[in-house]
Amino acid sequence: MTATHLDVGGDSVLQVPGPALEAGTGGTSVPARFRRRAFSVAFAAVATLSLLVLVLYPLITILIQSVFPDVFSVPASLAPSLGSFSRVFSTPEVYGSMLNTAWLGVAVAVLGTLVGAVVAVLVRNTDLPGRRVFDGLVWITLFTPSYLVALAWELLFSRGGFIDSTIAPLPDGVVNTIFSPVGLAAILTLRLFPFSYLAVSAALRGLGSEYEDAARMVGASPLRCWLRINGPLLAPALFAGGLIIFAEAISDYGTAATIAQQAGFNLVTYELYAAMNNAPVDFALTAALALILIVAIAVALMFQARLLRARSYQVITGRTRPARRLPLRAWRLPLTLLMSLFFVAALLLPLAATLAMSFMRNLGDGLVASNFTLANYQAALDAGGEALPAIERSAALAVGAATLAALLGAAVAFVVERTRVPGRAFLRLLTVVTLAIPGIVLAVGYIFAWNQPWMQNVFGFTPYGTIGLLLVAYVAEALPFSARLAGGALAQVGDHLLEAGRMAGATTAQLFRHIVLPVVATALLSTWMLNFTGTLFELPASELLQPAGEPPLSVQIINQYSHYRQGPGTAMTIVAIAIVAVAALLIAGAARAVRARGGKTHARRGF
Amino acid sequence: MGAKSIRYLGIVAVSSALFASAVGPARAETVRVPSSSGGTLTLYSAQGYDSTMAKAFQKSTGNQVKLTDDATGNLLAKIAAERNNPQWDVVWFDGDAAMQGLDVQGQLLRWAPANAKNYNALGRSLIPSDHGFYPTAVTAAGALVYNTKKLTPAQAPKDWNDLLKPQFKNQVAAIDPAYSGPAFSLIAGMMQRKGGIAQGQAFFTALKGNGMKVFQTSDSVMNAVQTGARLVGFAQDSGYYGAKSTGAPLGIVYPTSGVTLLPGVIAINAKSKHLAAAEAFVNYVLSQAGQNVMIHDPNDPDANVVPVITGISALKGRQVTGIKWQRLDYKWAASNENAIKLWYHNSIVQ
Repeated sequence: MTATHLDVGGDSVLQVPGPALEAGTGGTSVPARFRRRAFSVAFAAVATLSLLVLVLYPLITILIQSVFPDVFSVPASLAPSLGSFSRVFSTPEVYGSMLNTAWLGVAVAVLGTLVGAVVAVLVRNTDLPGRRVFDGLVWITLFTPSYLVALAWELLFSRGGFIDSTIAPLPDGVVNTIFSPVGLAAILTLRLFPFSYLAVSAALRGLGSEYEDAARMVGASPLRCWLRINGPLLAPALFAGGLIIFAEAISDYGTAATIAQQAGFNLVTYELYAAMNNAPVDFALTAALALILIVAIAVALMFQARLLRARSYQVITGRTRPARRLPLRAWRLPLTLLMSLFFVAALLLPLAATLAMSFMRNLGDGLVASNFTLANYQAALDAGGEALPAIERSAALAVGAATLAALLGAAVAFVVERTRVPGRAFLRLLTVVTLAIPGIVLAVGYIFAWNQPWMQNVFGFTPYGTIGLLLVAYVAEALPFSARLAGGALAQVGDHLLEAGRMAGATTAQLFRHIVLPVVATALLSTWMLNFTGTLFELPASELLQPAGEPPLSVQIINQYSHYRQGPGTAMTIVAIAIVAVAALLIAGAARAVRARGGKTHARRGF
Repeated sequence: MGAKSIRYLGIVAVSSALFASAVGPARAETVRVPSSSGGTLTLYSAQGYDSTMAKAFQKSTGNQVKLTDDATGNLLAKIAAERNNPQWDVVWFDGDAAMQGLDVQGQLLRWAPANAKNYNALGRSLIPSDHGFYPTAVTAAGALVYNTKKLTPAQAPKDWNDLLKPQFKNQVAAIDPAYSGPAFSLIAGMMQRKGGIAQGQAFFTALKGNGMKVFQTSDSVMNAVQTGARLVGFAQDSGYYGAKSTGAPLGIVYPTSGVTLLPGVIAINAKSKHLAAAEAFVNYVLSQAGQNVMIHDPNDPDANVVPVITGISALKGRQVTGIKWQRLDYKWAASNENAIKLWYHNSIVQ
């Protein structure tokens, strides 16, 4: 019986590396070992270079301006200055925003982790009716972009919004609660709990029932088993999910710009955006605030590592006995209702509001027959208009970015989880830390990084302003998360499988092709779907890096919203959601095909 | 190597090719030929009618326009980040204070367009002495809009000071300069009318004391007023006429003590590699033909402007007389912009 490390979502920084593929075993010839090493090195080089060039280099070009504010000015100067940090700590609303962000990040991480864990246990390990439907709903929640949810909630619950003006006047208490720090935390929790759900679900699959069976034999109740055995064993998964939620919460701009502003609750991401959107533009302050977000996530990482180092979380592998399903008995109906209500709030409400508004002529006139129109869709799908080419352009970009990011992410995860390439710990750190960096910072870094005058002479063109660079930026934004999802799937590849393969004389390429790839295939498909949706609705890079004359769909949508043309804006959103739905059906079909062919490979990642 | 391996290699090859073509110089539009003989120009604009104007210009002159349409704040961020290698030729948005900021940095071409002869008296009065940028139309940075279902014209406020009255307690909606281009002109203009920064601050503080709430843009203010969340609000008047034309229950008041004039302004990059095309575009915007395209853009509320070119009349229903215009001292405003915005954000928005 082998004991292996329980890794969830590939996040636990304490992880002891499994046997590395390149570590030669006895009995192989020197050329074979050399080939194996060459393969690993080439793989590692691609993964490392892609992270360095696509993510690290652009980030450095912006972050460096926090201490060298004039490094890209005309004329350029390397004079160091700490003025940006003194502006951070001498301006009350800026350092106030740091406290607010820290408070919100911790609250949402705790709430989101708990909600995600409870939903995961209910869906995976009980006899709750409609489990598969709920699983699908979690994925849809994960796919929904935060600014759309924030906009929908704002339109729904603001004074004079959809409910207030069309259904019934909202009591002050409701409006004031939604547009308060508490409401903000609740909305972010509804948005981000899927990260905890995914981590806990993966851990539950590996849990088995051996410990539980042993406890049951000596008379422990099912509840007691969960509290004393399964619960503690899930701790790494809880911390991993919580860390991602924390990172996403503190870097979220969608809610910072909408609901947080209405709540009078100032967040770092908003200050960061304001610093670069007001004349004169202050990139040094933007960079200083981005560095502060990075420090916050680094502190969270250290905290997580310290907590987890205290004890062991090893489980028994083999997966011969799946975990026991907990019978819910009298709790079945109330829990089903509660779960349904939960998804109504997280998903159905914002989607329904968007759909309703896409058929309305004028929001102020309410839900009456005379206010019904198809004109918004005619505008969105008008062949001669600008929306249709943008839809085609963004769909193509999303397919390209999703494919490249999923493959590169798998390569990065492979290097980090399964090789002993020097510097892999740094790559892992980079994929976590970049989760906490708002997309807008990376996007503005892309302008500095890829608009250098010398590039015209060296490459023959300037990358900035091309649709190619926008694609690369999309890949860079999706890459850290793709690597983390692939890492989680890779952790499911048992070391014993690799060892068995190696004993039988398989080369690294064969191990990758016949063992690793089948296991991660369904995870890759899920990652692809996430990347596709994320890219289709991506905003910061789309706005700052759009090629002149070729705007992406998300920019067109947000321009409609910001001019308060909600009709065409919501219609375009619904068209984009329809594209996502079609892609999801295709991917789900592909995932079923993979599962049917390779059911024996443990590829049970749900979609 | 089996068939499956080959398929896998195929995927890798296709993705690599995709990647190479994505970053490579193969695409025609990525090649920038330095030229001063017209051709293609890149336009950064926040104007709602920019796309219609660009198409009409292309049709009329044969020059190509590559348009980036975005909020003024995002355009300013892009221009700042591009400073050591600018990619834009023409920039066009509302608000001479932000444009003045680019001008003092030496980023704007100082020149005299041939069609400057077309300006009417209002237009001529708006040309800066260094000829760094040119007005294209005029709107009011902030007039008062009110809900006509809840207020009769007699009940509506007549001047800014009326907003301090008890009947407007918790009923006033303001705009946020962090989101709205016209908001800063409105705030700075109010301070100028009140006699200085301190007096202006006192007025806004009093408004806040009467329950004034800050929304993001003119459009969000009008939405709040239209749906009854607030009775009155500040809004750029061109947006108001646009909303009015779709049947929104809104009315407008030009306060008797004056409204800040907000010019749409256009300028050419001092380092433009497509000067001829850029100059042709600005001249086209200042021509009668170009102005008619702008004003009669059917889909665009921004087109409800007061013309600055002779022989052009405003859209029907748009009030052009009886408005007490106030010129913003944009040099004073630009030099105090950060301090004023910071104060407003700290003391009024928060």
